[in-house]
Amino acid sequence: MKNIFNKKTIFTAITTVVLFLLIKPMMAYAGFGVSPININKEHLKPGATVTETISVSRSNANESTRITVEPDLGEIESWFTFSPGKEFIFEAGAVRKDFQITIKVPQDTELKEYTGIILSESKKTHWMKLKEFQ
Amino acid sequence: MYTPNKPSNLSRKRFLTILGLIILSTVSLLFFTKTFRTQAGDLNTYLTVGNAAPAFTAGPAENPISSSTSPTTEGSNVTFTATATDGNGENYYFIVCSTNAVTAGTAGGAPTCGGTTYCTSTSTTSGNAASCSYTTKSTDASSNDWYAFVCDVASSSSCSTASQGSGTDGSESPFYVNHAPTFTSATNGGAVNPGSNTTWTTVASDSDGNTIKLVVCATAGITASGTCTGTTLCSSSLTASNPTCSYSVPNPTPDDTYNAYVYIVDQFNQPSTSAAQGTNVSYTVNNVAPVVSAVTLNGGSDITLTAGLTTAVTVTATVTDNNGCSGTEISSVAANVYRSGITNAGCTTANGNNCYPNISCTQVAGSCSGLTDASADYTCSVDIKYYADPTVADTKFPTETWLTTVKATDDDLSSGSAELASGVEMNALAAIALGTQIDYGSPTLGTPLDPAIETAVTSTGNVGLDVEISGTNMCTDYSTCSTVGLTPVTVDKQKYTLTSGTLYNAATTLTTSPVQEEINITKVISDAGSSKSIWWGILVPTGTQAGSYTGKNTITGVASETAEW
Repeated sequence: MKNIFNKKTIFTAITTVVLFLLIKPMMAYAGFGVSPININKEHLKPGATVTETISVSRSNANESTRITVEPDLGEIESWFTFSPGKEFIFEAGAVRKDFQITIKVPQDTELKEYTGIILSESKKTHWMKLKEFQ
Repeated sequence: MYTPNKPSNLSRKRFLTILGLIILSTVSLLFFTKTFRTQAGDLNTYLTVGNAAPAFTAGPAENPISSSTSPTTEGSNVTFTATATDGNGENYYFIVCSTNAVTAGTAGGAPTCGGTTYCTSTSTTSGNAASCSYTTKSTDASSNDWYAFVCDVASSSSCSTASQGSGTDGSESPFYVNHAPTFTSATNGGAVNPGSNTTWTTVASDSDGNTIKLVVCATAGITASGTCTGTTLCSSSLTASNPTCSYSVPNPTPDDTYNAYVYIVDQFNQPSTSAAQGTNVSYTVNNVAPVVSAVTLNGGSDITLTAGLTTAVTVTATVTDNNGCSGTEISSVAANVYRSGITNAGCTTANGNNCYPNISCTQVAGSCSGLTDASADYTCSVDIKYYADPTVADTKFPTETWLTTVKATDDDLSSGSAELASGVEMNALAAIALGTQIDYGSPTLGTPLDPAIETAVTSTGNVGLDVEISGTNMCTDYSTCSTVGLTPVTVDKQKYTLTSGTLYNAATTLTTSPVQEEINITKVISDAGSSKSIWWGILVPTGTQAGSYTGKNTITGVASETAEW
């Protein structure tokens, strides 16, 4: 395989970012989004490192929200690091928050297409009171 | 001719004798005197002394000294000076003539020239210096021979022979007169653009054969040295006739008509006295259209939108106008921002999906340094809707980009524009908002509650959406959800449907694992938004303990196939 990489140093890694939003009974969340929704990196060479900025945004900035990044990347999960981490706070007053995903492709990576999913989850920091069953 | 007076009361014989004595005496003593000497005794002697013309003892000379290379300016005085003595001790007149001909005055009067009399002195005591002045005229020749005479002041005046001066320093004849050049007309070549040359041409000449030059001044007035008292627009080289000169109009220069005063002077800086001298032959600077360059959109970066809101995106450009960047020259700068498939020409009506026309731009403070600066930077900000068409892969317009065209218009309605050379991508934004709560209330145990509790799912991004739905058990001790002594409502007791009016038994059972549902929320295309609903139902089993039950249902938005947008 090493020879293959030396001769053909092109491969593809596709990571799909999807939106994840929690609801609970008796709760309503303001809009929450993520952009871009796809990270397509074609022709990456083994040993290459790329960093992408992902923006999460919302239309209601009244409250602080915790953002959780949940990667589901399988065999390539170890290639990924997240800054400032997999959890960070979306401060009140802000409608956009960026985080960085860095992909570092190992030197001995097999030439093929790789895909994965990263969930960005927005969790409100307070709970609503619920009714009781009679 | 001078003739002695004859005595009338003497005989002819005696007269001849006496005449013989006179002749003898004359040989040894005097030639002509006017005194009579009487011989002692009875012999009367008569002596007639003739009038002698005065003679130059110094000069004559002209002042100032003139020469062909240093002529006297037309209208200036030439002063002639000389000193003469008269043998008879009489006063004398000093006269300067244009020809070698003079007529002595009569009865003590001044002599006159056979030609032109340049000047005549007053009666001057013999031995004293005499002078007279002549004011040069336009009718004088360039070179004027002169002949000076001195004539005594006598009843029968006598004049010297002519003298043209004895110097070799230019004080001798002739005197030279420099005439003003003739300046018939001047014209300007017409309106020019800033940075170009504008040329004045003249019809001018010099009767002396001197070379002449054209001087064009921004303000009226030239100095004695033939230069502008103010700003010189241009000055020609010395030429035989019809001089021209060109002025390079600075870049930038406001479009306007500017004063230009034209002057012709000769090689001695003698200015023309013609009517055209000093007239204002103005020049005109054209209005030129502004040029737009260095256009950027969002700093060249892909545009990332904000869920449910607008995102301020900046356009920048440089506007160069050779009429200047300051003042009111640039009346407006505006930008269109659009998806490339729309084109600038097609972006005339605002459309949040793809066209943001006529965005007003403002000049960046300090980017125009003043009157000598042609360029200024402009910045424009446009609020892009959250549903603006994405152009990245897996969207409807993956081969397109977002572009901007910036148009600058000047105060004469000339305009220039430039389009961003390389467009930027509009990122896809997947975003949802959930508009209602899920409140099952207090359902009857063992009786299914048909899905009637509606959750609106609204897209607040720029892609079509499907959803993934999952949930948890509902518990009184959520999220522990203990089964020891408690009766959680398991997740499968909740059902949902995407169709209103669906019965509980026909609805989809909620699971803990996400299930993708083709809800097909279309892409938002207007501020009205785009949403679909999910209806929820539940069956609380008989035997469930009373209490407040809490669970967590999860709706995940996923970009749908573009065909479903």
